[in-house]
Amino acid sequence: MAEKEYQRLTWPRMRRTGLVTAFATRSSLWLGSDHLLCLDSTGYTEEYKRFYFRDIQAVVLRRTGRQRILNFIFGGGALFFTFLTLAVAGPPGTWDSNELPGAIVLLSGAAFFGALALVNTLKGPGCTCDLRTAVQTERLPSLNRLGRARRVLNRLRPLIEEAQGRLAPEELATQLASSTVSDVPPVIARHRGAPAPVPPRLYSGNAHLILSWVLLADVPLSAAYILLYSQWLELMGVLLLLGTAACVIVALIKQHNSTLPPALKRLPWLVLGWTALLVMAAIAYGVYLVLNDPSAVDRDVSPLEDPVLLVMTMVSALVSAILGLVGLKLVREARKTMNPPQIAPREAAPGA
Amino acid sequence: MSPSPPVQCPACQVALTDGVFNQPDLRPCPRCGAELQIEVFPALFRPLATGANAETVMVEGESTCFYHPTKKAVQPCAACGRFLCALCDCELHGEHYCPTCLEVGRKKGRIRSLQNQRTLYDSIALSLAIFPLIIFYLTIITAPMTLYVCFRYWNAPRSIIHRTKVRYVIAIVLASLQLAGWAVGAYFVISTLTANG
Repeated sequence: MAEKEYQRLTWPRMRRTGLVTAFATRSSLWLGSDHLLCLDSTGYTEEYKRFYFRDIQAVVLRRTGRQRILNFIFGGGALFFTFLTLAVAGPPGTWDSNELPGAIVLLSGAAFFGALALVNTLKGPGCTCDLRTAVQTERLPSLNRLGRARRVLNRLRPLIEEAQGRLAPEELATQLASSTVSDVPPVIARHRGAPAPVPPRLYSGNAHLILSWVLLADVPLSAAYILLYSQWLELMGVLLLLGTAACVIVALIKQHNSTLPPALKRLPWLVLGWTALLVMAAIAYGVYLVLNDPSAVDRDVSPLEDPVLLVMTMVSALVSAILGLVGLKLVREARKTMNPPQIAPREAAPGA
Repeated sequence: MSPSPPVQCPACQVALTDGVFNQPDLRPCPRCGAELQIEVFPALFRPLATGANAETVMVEGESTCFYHPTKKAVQPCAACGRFLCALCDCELHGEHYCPTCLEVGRKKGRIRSLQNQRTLYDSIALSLAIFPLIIFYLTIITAPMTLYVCFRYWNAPRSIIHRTKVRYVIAIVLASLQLAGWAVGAYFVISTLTANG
């Protein structure tokens, strides 16, 4: 059997090529005899970038907060489903045979998020990895964990040193002291097919403003839903949820490559995450109700009759209000930054 | 010879100096505090080579470049044999090529190390065989398409990494089963219609 030309170094990881990627590009690293191959695949096409060992100038690893952020999301999900189980079915010892299937479904949600958090913790801290040659700096998305990046680097180092020679610490210091470096930044290689870099657009945040108002509209609607429960109000709630989702999508598209401050750019993502969590909780609770009592499918339940539904509606309204108010404040601040108040020129004093 | 640009912090783009290079663990960026581990190699300090200038022919009867008749030839192209001046001479893994042969070699896939893109026809065929199963009626169109893709591109270059033809085989089997299913269905419909009347 012929020897394989390339050995796998990493499994494919997503390369971010834009906000919405119809065919996500997945990038992996392969070790060739005299070069490192970065393979970007859509599943139906593959693109190759070869980095010859003799040309690699530097590998830059930067630790990121990826692990912390993901643990926060997954841990939050696990806690949310645990509390939901406790709120709905009570402590584990008190479950009767009717409540058991529903409680298991809710606990499965908690276990799922818990397992994700555990895997994320075991994978170690996140990082970015940039590989630099004389003519480009290439981001390697498959090296997004520090441990994996170091393992790959340990494997590449002897091969690069074999091609280029070893750089002793004292030699490095001498070279750094004597080398004349230009102020010209290196060319940043972009993914082939990605658009050329364009300067950020000036955007006033209208979509974010509308999103904030839509979030605030959830407060009176939730109050009416609790106090004057009717199917029409329930329908309006669903429409508002769909409207929120539409506003989030528009805001995400509009904020892409815009001058909006990062805090305001996070708002649609937060709303998206919160909405997804809320929908998942509602589905899980619905499944729990149906498993406990199949006739619940045809029954309309008012929030005042069901304490869990009441708490969920109130929490949803509270979070929507907070997000809406924060959104309004951020949009206002962003607009102030964009259009600083004009100071009227002082009128010349008479006789001056 | 142009100098190499400095290594920059990927977070704040500041040019980094000694103290963060080739350290066994993470070190903070002096400006933004981002935790960095930077491995540098001798190529960083190697000056960038500048392109050679082609020499003008001074002596009558001297070999000249095919593309620049006034310039002195320094190498023949390894693919077409044309004489090349220093400007047209492109070296690749010890071989010398003219720009035209390099371009042709890249387009036709003759020079493997220049290939930077491939289409995975085996994956396309497999998807064509599997995904339409969700709506079975589509398979009457997609099954012949699958077979066409399989036989048309059977010998086309697959992924540059090691990959077998198993996807083609599975796609052919699935597409054949789908067509067989349609044939059996059609047979039953026709035989039922014939029996009824």
